[in-house]
Amino acid sequence: MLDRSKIVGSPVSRIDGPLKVTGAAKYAAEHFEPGMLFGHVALATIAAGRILAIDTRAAERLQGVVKIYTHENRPKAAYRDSKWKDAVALPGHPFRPLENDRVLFDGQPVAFVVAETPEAARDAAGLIHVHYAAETPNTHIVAEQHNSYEPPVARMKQFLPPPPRGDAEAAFAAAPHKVSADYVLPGEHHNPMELFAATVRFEDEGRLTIQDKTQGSQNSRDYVCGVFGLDPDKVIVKNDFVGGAFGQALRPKHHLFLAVMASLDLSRSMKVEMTRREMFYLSWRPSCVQTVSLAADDEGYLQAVLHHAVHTTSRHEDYQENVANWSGLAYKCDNVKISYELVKLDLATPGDMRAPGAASGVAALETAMDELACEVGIDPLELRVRNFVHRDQNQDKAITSKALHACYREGAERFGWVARSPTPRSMRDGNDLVGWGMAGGIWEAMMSKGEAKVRLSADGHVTVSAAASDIGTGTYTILGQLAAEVFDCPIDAVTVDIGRSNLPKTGVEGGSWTAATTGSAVQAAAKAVVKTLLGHAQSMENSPLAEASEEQVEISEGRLVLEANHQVGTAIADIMAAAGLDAVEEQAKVGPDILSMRRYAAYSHSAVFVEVKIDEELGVVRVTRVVSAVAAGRILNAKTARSQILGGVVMGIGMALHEEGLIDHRTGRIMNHNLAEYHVPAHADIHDIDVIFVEEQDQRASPIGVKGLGEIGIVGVAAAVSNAIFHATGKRIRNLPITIDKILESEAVQ
Amino acid sequence: MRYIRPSSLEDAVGLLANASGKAAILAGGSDLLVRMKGGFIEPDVIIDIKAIDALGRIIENDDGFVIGAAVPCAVLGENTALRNAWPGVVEGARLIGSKQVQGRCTIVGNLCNASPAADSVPALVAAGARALVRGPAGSRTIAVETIPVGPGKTSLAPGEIIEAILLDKRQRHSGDAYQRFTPRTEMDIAVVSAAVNLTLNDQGVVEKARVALGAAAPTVLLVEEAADILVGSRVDDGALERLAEACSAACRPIDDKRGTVEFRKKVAGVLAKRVALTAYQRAGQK
Repeated sequence: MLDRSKIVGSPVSRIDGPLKVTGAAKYAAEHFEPGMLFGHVALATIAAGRILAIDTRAAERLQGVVKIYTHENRPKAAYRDSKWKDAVALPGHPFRPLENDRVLFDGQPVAFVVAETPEAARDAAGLIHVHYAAETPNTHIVAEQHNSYEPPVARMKQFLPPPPRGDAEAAFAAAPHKVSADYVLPGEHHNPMELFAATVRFEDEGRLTIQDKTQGSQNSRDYVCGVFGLDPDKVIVKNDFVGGAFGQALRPKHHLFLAVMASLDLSRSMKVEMTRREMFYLSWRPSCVQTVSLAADDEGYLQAVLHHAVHTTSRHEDYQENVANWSGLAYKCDNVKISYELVKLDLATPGDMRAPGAASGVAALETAMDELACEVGIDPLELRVRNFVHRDQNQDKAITSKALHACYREGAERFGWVARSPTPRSMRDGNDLVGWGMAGGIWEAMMSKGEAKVRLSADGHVTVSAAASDIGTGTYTILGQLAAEVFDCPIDAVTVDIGRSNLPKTGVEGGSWTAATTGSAVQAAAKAVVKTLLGHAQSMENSPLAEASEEQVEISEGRLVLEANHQVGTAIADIMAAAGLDAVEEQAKVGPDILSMRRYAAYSHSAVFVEVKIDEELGVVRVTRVVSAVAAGRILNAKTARSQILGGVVMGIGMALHEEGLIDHRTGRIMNHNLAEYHVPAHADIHDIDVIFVEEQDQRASPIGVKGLGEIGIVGVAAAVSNAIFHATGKRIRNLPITIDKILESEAVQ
Repeated sequence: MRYIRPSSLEDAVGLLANASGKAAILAGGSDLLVRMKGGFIEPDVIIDIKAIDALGRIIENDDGFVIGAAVPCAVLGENTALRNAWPGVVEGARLIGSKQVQGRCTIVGNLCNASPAADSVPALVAAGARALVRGPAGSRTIAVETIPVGPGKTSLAPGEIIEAILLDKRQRHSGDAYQRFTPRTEMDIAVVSAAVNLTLNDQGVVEKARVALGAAAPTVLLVEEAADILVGSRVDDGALERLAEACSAACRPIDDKRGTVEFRKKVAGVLAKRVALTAYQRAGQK
């Protein structure tokens, strides 16, 4: 049915686009309630220690201040950790705002002001004086890496290293070609456009309606209900529009807790919006130290892969992401040893940030592959082609699909890779050194459990509903397209109702699984509607579809018809009229195919080609061209899909060249907690980015054949940029970001 | 805090002179409001000069250009005569912040903010621009390089306000240019910057030169010894090398996150060479 593909796959503009560009789309902080109060958080100015005293007198005297909360007067909340654990919580103890006098990280909330205006709340927060007994913080991963440990409780089973295979150390020692190096990545900080915010409407009978900036309205609802002991039927969380989140809004943050706490305590509606600065203290990509050792024979076939990764976590939780396991499955190798450890530092708990783990681990692996190509003396693309593997050796499973050869081929052709001169420093454009580098990318193609409801009205209008979130990725649009496809209607005949906790159950939007999950649920529910319609049609007298099975019919131009002969059928309006119905509605539930998952692993893949031009006198790097060739199964919307990859590439360029949380390790405080000092690429830094989606059929990864696109765009980009810089300059820089000082200070290899 | 929006310069000067407590002038606000928001300053009186008509205009007269203190930098770029006469000055003004910021910010604000890294100041200094200053004691005209005296500090007396920037009428065979170095291509603060303004004779030999460096010392530097190297030359390779050396030697920069002393000295020389060549090409075309 879906192979007709009139709508699915085509570059449909976002159906929520007009609302967004006209300002009609309201975000969490843009909702107002009569008589509402406003909250502002006072932040800790030490990274470790205890609060001795909090002087709130001056703040309380400020006009408009209603109440100031500290750990000394915070209303009671749940006692057990289990009540504080949200759907994506980590092993360890979840952070509890204003719980006690303990300071665990710079920027921790230490007081919360509620006032009649946001200005009064903010000013009052500035008048609060906190006296601390500060302790010496440890925030330097390189200095503390010897204190690393294996996580005692796994966040997810697939984050644990696979068992070693072969004898990696012996194979490494015996191989004729080898490289081994340390790669250091700084902490990176999320900076989506939209700040964390919650607007809580306090209603009669203890009902709350909360507008929250979250990647999962049901997750926020369940968290609030768990922490405050509320009835889930009395709490609705909405996230109609989310201004970017990238994983930061997977877990509920303290703004939500504080807003609900004050609302319940004061019986008033409340709003809390974080400052840009506060965004730097929450769910960041952890600083990470990796050692990657690769060995190959004279033809470049991998003989040994060793990857050891250590990254930061907080004192109170064991944040984990899959950093190193990619090295065991990206290429064919029979001698593999992977290890993964954490180090506790006096910093806020890290969190998922676009392609968590892969962005870091593949950056190291793919730089090491480039180094190995130089060592063996073959083209870096050819090295990868030779080590291609169509099996997940980590799990000893088949791969559902892997059109990576097509990525290599089409990407290289579009980029013009064949014209690359292999010697570093051998390509120039005027005064600029030119470098061409490439890298591979990989991400798990996941699907979770999810539900959706589809309603077809007699007038042909379709409503799709699920508690899914559109975090800027285009979820509204692709769900509309999938429904329009089944019902053969224009997309503007479809209303997509998502972003609300009292809609059919959906997990958080993250991990690139929403299209596969909610998309499949929508398709299943739409097909269920067609099946129900067929039943009603067959109840009609002399039905032309009397003998038809559900596989034999489809909807065409407002009629239920035989797929093989559109002349045979009945108008939907007539079917519903005969059945005495205004509409047909069905709900469907989908989930990963457990049997298939036992035998198969599913991944999306990419090949990224990068050109840099470097002004050697100044050390300035410009990324002048990027070609990203992606194999991610079926592409539902060519336009929003391309946008996902563009965004991933830009973020990868930022990772390579700019992004770095700078900590004053004497105080443990983040120094560049603003967008003036924490650099991401500006528009003028971004030149040509070409996105290719290679053909890939995959009915195992998900029922609708998609693998997800949110993460794959960033994976490998930093390595490709780094490899291009090496090709341009002969300088191998293994600690990101590759800033000018590092380029000027390092020596070119001979 | 009081916010006042006078409609005449006299009123603005009077308000400023008679203000009790700390007074601040608001034009584009791209520095003032940011500093207020950050809690660095809390003025008692804010005098918004955008309603004073005379300050919002660029006037071209027989002597050159008069750029009002409230003219946004973006407007400089839309003035064809100014752009043709003083392309380096306009280049500097149009590198400040983003397009949105340029729609608000002013070169006078940039000057009075007195940042050593101010983008519009080196080109103004190289251009020999003067500031028309109005104060309780009357008007005076002073060279722009005498206004900033250190980071965040100016030589303006209490109650004084800059009314306009004056740029000379352009002579034949003249050209100027400005470049800055930033790690990011835009939305960044100059690590080092350089401006050169040249006037050639009919044979293409430099007759007059002014060289200014930004972010290389507590204030924008006018490097006379570098200018002397260019005078009498055709901006050949030898002159450029000596220019670079002179500029590197003149720098008194600091080490910070954006660059080291050594790096800033090197970049000052590289940029000076590049802008001197551009200025020379521009001068030759007129």
